[in-house]
Amino acid sequence: MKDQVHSIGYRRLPGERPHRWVPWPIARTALALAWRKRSTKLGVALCLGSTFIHGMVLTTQVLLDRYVGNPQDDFRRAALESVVGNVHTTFAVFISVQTVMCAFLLAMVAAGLVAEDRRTGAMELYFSRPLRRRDYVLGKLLAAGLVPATTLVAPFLLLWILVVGMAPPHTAGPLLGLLLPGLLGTVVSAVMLTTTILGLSAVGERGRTVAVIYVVGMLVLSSVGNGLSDDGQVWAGYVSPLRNVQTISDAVLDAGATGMLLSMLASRPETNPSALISAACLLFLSVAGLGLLLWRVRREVAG
Amino acid sequence: MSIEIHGVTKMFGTVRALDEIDLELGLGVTGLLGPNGSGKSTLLKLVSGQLRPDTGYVRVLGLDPFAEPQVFARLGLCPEQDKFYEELSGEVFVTALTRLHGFGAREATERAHHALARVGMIEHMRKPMRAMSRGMRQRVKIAQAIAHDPPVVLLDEPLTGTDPVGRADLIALTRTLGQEGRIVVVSSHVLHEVEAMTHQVVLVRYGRLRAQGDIGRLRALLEDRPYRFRIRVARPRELAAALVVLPHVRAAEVVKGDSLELTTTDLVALCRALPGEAARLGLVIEELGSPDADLESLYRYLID
Repeated sequence: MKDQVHSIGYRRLPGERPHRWVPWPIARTALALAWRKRSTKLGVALCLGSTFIHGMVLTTQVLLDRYVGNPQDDFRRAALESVVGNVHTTFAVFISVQTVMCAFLLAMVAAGLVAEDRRTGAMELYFSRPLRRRDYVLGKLLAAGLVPATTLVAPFLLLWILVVGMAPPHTAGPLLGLLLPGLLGTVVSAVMLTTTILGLSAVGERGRTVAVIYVVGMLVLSSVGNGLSDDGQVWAGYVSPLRNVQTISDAVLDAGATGMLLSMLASRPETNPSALISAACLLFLSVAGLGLLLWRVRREVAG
Repeated sequence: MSIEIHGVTKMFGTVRALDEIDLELGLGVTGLLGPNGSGKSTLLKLVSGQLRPDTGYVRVLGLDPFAEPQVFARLGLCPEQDKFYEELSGEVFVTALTRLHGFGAREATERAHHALARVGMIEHMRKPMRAMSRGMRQRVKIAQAIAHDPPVVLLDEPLTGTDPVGRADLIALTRTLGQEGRIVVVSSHVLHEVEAMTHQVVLVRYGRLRAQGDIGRLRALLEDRPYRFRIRVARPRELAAALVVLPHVRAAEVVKGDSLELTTTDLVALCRALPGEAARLGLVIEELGSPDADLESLYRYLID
């Protein structure tokens, strides 16, 4: 055999490289891909529109309270609330409405996150790199989770800052206390949305099919839950994820009746009797979604 | 530095995709050949850690690709599938995958550009994948496999869909990768393309290893298959009469009036005897060659 000296021209070996967090590039690629779709931009616009409308309602409530309301006059306050509602209720409705918007947006952005990777063979490319299953799952969770984080959690924070900033001194104190309950409501909703869409995506074959199933499933569960619950079967209300979100939001935010102004803009789901059971139902959905995701990825990569 | 495959069997249900494969692939380009369904892709999937062998073991650079994912930092895979993120540009696609090796954004982009330049895609790298031809997509796939400078490169049907110029470029690139001191495994069933890349081949059929090694030496090992040897000469009948008496020459046939086709069991002995006989008869040999000493013949004998 001919002697031959091969030129070895590799750069630094992988072990010498600084460790970088690989889930972020996975999430970034997924989001870059989603942003190229017109439907995603439309979904984001709808979420922004909903935030803007709720911001206007909150501004109206706070300004009226500031300039028209009288802290000593309970009758006047009650009359004002019956027309424009109160901030607590608006936040609760905002979380509920935004959850619906976010579900639509997630269907556009995240339905194909795992399904399309499997269909197109991209998973083979991912796992021919020094990537652990955990990194992949975290990357996809990050990509999907950023959607409710930016369209649900962040807008809530912005609206809360807006409200607290404009509120008259006598109501600013109680409004400050809305931060943690509001965040709790939005985070619960965000976790439920993220894990369920990824769980479905993990078992689905095509992104588009998963998106349709997700949206239709949410609507059907809500309709069935509301319908049966209205017929006296109270337990059925817990089947509806949106009703559960509203129940938790109302409970943590101590929401009252919706004012005339808000009821004209958004329909508010009925709530379930127990916020704890609603929370348990949402937790079950989240665990199921996460379980499906982990199971599928493990199966795909296990060979 | 090698890929070791020892006693590997892989079953899919009741189908034995690979059966007791023993193989060692060293530096340079190795062609992995076999008909569809022969187990080529399964073998590549085992080497790239996508599948776990049922029996035996696979070691890539001394590491188990299924259990030790750090080996993937030194491995580049160009899979057979042609469907990827259609909306992404080639540049973004290669950069994103390169970042998964732990490179920062800037370094990953530089490496992606370098790799895309090597496959001749630098001018088209901002096109979305959906707007690219099959050949362009193949090049982008190869770029993502080499962007992190891996010592092991696995190419599954890399020339599918490429135009003749692109094919020549990719063949040259594959040879260069081999000459750079990498282990390059090319799976294909287009024989002349593999032959243009390398003379080291592995032949697989029905999940079993049929042959491995240098094409010429493998052909020589097939003693029960005599060589055909064609000589273009002015008076083929005279030469035939002179050569047919040699003990290793089995048959002689005049083809088209100006060529002589001999069947011999010892090609080397024939080549030694031929110049003397031609000189004795005063013949000028215009052209000679063996039509069945190439990869295609080897494939035909061993696989078909």
